[in-house]
Amino acid sequence: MRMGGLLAAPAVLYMVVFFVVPSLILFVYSFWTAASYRIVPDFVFSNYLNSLMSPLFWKVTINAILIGLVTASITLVLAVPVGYYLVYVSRSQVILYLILITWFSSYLVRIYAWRTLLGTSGVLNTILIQAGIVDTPVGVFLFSRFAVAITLIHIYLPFCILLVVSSLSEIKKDLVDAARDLGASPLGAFFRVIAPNAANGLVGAFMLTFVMVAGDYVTPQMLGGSSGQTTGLLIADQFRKTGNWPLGAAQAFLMFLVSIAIYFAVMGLGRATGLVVKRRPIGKAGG
Amino acid sequence: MVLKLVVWSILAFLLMPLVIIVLFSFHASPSLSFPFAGFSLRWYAEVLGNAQLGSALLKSLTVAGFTALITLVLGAAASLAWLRLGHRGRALLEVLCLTPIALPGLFVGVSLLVLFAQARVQLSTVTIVISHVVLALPILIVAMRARLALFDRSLEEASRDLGASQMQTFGKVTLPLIAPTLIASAILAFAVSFDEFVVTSFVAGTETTLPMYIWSMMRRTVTPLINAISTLALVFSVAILFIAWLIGHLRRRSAVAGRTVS
Amino acid sequence: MTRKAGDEASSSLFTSAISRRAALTGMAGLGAGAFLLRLSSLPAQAAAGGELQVMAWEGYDLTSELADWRKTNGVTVETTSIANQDDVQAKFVAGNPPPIDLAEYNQAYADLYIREMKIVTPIDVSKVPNYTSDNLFSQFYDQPTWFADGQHWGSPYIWGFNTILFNADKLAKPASYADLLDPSLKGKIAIMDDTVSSWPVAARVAGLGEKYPLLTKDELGKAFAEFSKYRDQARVIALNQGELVNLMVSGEVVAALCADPSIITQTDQQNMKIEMAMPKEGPVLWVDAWFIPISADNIEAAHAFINQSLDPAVQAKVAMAVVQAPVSKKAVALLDEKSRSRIDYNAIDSIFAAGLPGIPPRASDTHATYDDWIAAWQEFKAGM
Repeated sequence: MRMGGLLAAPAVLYMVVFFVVPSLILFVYSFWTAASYRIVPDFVFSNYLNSLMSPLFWKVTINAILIGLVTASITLVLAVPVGYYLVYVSRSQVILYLILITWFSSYLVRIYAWRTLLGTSGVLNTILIQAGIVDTPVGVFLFSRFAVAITLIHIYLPFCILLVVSSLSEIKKDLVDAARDLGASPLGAFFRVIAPNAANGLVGAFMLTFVMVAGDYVTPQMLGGSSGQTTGLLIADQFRKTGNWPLGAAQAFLMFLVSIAIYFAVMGLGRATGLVVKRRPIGKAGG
Repeated sequence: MVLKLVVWSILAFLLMPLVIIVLFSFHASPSLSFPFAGFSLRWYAEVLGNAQLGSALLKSLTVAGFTALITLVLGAAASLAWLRLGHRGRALLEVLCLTPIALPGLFVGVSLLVLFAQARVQLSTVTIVISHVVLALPILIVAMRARLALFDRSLEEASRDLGASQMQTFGKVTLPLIAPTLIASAILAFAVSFDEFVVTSFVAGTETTLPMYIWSMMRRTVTPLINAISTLALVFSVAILFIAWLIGHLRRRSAVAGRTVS
Repeated sequence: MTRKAGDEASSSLFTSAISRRAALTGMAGLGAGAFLLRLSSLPAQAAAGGELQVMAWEGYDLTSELADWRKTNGVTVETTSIANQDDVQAKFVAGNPPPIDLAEYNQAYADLYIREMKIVTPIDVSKVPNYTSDNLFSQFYDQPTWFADGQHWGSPYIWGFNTILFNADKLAKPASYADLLDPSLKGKIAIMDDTVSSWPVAARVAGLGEKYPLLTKDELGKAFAEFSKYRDQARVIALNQGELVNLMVSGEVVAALCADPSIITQTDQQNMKIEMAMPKEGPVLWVDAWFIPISADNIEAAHAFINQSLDPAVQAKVAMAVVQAPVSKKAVALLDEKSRSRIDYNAIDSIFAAGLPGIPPRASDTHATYDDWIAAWQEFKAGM
């Protein structure tokens, strides 16, 4: 026990100094004021109130939430079959490594690759025109929510797959095998046996993906056109361009609160539909 | 069969942009759009001749190396602690080390920016490493915890019962058992740091890492040069992953061989 | 509170450095002999070396132009590149400004930097022998923007203008910004995410160009109401020049509302014929200068670098490289034919006759402030 405390101390100390303390300072900053690129210690609620009353703030926040919900949902739907396959069908190392490789290619360069794919003279438009499906290049592939969503799915899918794999790994294969022996299809086995047991893990995977996607402002900025303005970009601009750090700090905490609200909404929805249950999953060893 | 088809289509979706990146890194013209104007190695030649790019790469390797090292030491200790801690200790460790994952990188970036501003710490390579560790440590702990859940503590106890000291037990029993997990986790931390962009953009000051360099280059003009850099990084990661796989493979084989002997 | 103390500390550090230097030169001036003279110039010579932190636009840091000078003087230059002017002052918001020795700034920001943020250290022009009325155009030499209260706050470096850029194969030369509102161009133009050049255009298309940067809040609303027509016409608001090049070359857009013509060198390389057009509302002029921030720690080398940047040969080289105009009169003769004919240097008086655009005031009871403009710009970008 004492050994455990000693071993944990460095990491705990590190996170206190470089995560807890900075978050607290940021919270204090959110009550300060700024004028002419100068930050003045103060105690006002105007940063919060002005943000909450600003149509711009709500517009970009709703935009970020929409992008986050749509992208995280599709990402999870795509991650589940891959996770299921990796956990129950074939522990294929090749597939796992192929997924990891995409994770290791440069984020910024991938954004430009999607431009090449979705552009007016891009791959997708060329295929559609060659196949005779459209006559003129489709413009909305690029600089639209569609472009943002598809790129964000691509960027966060590997991460989501790993989360799904780790949550599915907690359910014993015997359960799935039993269901299959009783004549359930893979889809049936998933919905009857895995989904109820892995629900908490899957909701966790969804939420983590949502938070990352909704907070990502680089991809929306580069591929979203006027739909690319998100809360993250607004906050980043307060710190990098307009010099209003206190306002940026307040908006960061508001964004955090919105994420928590959405977490409870998703959990509530899950419980109401009976997908998420409070009991500990059966297949999982206690502790 | 249907499932397999679905999985491979998803993989194709994941790999398609990579094919585009690699393909255009050999593009003969400076444009990044179709029609494809033929093959050339000019961008690779440019990568080699670009001194600023070289120093940005060196900076990124340094930052990622230190990040991996620090994260590994802190994370390994925390993971071993996790095995030994009671319920409350684990809960504390989890809240502290796992919350940053549930927050967007932007939040971590700006909060560290205000910390360094408040403490009047000059932004530098050191502040980049500090920030990257905050991002990598939680991921490393999650990855290690999943593996260590399978760790059999009775092996350590057996070693102690046989009269080995704490240090001996650690060196002879614990370390060899967790080594593959440690290596995999360090590679993960390295990868997280190497491609990090958002947090770095807040805490880098006047330093330029590779993603920062790519970003600043993109401001002036976007050419297949960035694809060539990315392709080289890809080849590098594939090589590392292959080595990791090889080590795992050999270890598994020797473990199986060991078992059959005994 | 603490900031102020820091400022005073650094400025007093600076003044003590100045007075020490002044004392040494004074002694030499008294004719104390060659020995003392050498002693006084030695520290300056030695200090010109070392590491110099420069903050400049990509391509404006004189990397290739000053290669020889750096070698001879043992100076290493580290550049931080900026993509818009806000990148510069953003570094000075907190209590830990980076040790930047030299930064590039648009003249519109002079008041903000010098009087409000107080992040500028005066330049000692006696250490910048190339700063003479003989070398510089009169539009730049000792003009109020850079020379005020008897202090040289900035050293003019390079100038140019942003204007309409268009794909000559796809449309006729536009004669006005309004020509880009033609229905056939819907979804085919780009607007730059650059406040310094876009805001004056927003005012001009609403017929308020004369008043910019002093518009009332009502007028600001009118300007953006008019300007949003251009946004609705635009395919995208381009983040930076690199993106605009990419958009032009891939055919996503065929014209840019008000952008830097220097991208033409990039589009030429990619076999895309882009030309510039001067709208009747006028292009947006800009002049960039160097300033030495208060956090500078290699002031000697910063002065030496400024001096080199005003050398006519260097001026000509960098002006040709970035496709802009030199502030040095003498450099004009050293430009190649193409660069020299781009601008009528004999008519420079008329180019600058209308003055240079500033930025909206930080605080005002009657006019829309800088923050009001920023808010309007953010809403504009979000499509509101």
